[in-house]
Amino acid sequence: MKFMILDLQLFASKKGVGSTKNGRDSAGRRLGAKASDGEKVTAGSIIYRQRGTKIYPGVNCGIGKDHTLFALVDGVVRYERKGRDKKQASVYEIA
Amino acid sequence: MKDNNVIEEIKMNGHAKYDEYGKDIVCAGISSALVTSVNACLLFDKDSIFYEEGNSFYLKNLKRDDITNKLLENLVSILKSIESDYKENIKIREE
Repeated sequence: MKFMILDLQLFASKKGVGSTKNGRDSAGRRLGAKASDGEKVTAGSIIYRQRGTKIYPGVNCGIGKDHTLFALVDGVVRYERKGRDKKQASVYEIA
Repeated sequence: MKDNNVIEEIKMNGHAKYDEYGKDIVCAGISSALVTSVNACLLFDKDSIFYEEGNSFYLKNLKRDDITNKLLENLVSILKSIESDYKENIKIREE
C-alpha cells in the first residue's frame, strides 16, 4: 500500500459550496467630458464631470463642489494646458 | 468494527461541514489524524493494512499485529475526542 498524501480538507464540503463575500460593485458614474473642444455651449451647461480636479476651471468656467466644470457664459469650449502638467477648460465668447 | 477488542475495519464518509472548503478545521483535524495513522501503520509494515479512498474512506486491518492495533486504537480515540467537541460535524458508530 502506498502512503497517503495529507489533504487537510479531505472531508470538507467540496469547493464551490461556500459563498464568496465579493461580487458587488456600484453603478458607473458616467464621468468625463460632456462638451468637447470647439463645441458651443450655453451659460450653465456642464463641461466636465470629474472626481477631484483632473481638469481645472479656466476662463469663464466655474467649478462645483463636486468639481464639475460648467460654463459661465455662452461660447466655445477650449481644453488648454495649465502650467507644466495640468489642464484647464475655458469658454471663449463668440464675437 | 471491532472483534475481541481489535479494530478490524474503519469506514469514513460524508463531510464535516464545519465551515466552507479551505476553512473547515474539523475536517483538517480528522484528515490529519487519519493520514498520520495510516502512514504510521505503513511505515512499520507496508502490508499491515489495506485502504481505499475516494468519495468515502475504507481501511481494513490485515495483520492485526500489536503495533497496527494500537495505532488504529489511537486514531479512534483521537476521532472520539474531536467528536466530543464537534458533535454536529462527526459521528462515530462502533459495530
